[in-house]
Amino acid sequence: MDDSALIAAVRAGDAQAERLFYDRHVERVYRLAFRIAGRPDLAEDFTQETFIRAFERLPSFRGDAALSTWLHRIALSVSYNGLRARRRVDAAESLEELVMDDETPALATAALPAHAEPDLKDRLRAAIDALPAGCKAVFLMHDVEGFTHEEIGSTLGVAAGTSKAQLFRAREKLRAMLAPFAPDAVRRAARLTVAEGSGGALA
Amino acid sequence: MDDNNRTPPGDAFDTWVADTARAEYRASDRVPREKMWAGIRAARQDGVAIAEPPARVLPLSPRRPAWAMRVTALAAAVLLGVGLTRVFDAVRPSAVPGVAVRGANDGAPGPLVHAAILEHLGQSEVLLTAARAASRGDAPPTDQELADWARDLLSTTRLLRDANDSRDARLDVLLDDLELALAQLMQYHRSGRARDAAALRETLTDRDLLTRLHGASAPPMPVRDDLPRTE
Repeated sequence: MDDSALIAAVRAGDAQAERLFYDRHVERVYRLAFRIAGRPDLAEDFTQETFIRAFERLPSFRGDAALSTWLHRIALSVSYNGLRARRRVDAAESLEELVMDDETPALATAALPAHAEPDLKDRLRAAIDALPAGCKAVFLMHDVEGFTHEEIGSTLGVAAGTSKAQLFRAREKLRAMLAPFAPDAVRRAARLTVAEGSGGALA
Repeated sequence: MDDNNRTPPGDAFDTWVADTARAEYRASDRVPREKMWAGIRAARQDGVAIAEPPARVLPLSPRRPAWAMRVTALAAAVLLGVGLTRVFDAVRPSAVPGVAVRGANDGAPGPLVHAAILEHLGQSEVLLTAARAASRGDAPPTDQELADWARDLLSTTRLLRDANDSRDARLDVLLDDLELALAQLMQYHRSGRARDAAALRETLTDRDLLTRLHGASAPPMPVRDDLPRTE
């Protein structure tokens, strides 16, 4: 069943079509919500809310964008607004999980304990969380989740060129923060040199 | 960058970062598909929203300048409009004679909500124009009245978003963007940091927000659907 037939069936109240719509999209929506929220309970909430809203709004879906793009836009809106709303009502929640917060240090690795070599996963998480919100969203969608620039542009309401620029900035920032910790083989392949006590630099 | 669809990894380092992030950064190992589906079905039957706690209406300051009274009146109009429109919808789904009233799925807000939206978008445009000018300065804005105004408009934006209730997708997007800009303005006022000012300017510029607010605050009048048609 293609998207238009599926939409028509859902609009007609076909329960099987609703489930098919859900099955087709739930994995990607959940993964995206999880990347943004960082907690399974929040990802579940945001995914459920995304589909609840999608089923409510489907009658007014005009097909200006692809169905998946339309759904991902709802997912992003629900996730970001959900995080912001929780920040307002739950001051104890970790700030690093709140994507719209812009207070993370520019070089998050500086906040890690100097006496212990942190796990690469911690370094990576700190570096990604230190990205500005726009860079982070585009990096996660493009490099991690495999969205195209056109999909990102449509979903975030920006031009594809803006998405490309944000990705470029994100990669540059991650390179500066993570180059000292990349495996030697990767550094050699990328022809990176790392000065003592500094971030990475292109040779 | 090769085309409009994908940017290939620049080198082995970009590939390594992306692969590591895919595996290690907030990676979900399983999707609780059935649990979420059960939650969706239950919530739809009960008409309950899950993700967003109810918007909190912030208390207004004791000294009430003229604009604050207008904001309060606007919020009251929104609440009244939503309530009346829902009553109209429940009692008589078709349009009220002489006025285009929102139907069950026609995507148009009721007349009271419509008027409140226009007023709100117009005020928001004025505020954000002033804020954009302030964000270009070296010093953070110190005008507490501006911050109070932003706070109240943010509350009203959330009220309107709830009132719109997904019936107008373009308005949903505009209100989402407006909410972000107002939140950034308040953040900038609190911190005074240049990067908060830059984030606000980026939202205003990238999303062309002022132009969209200007266009949306002066839309054509609702169409009367009770007039005789000529073939």
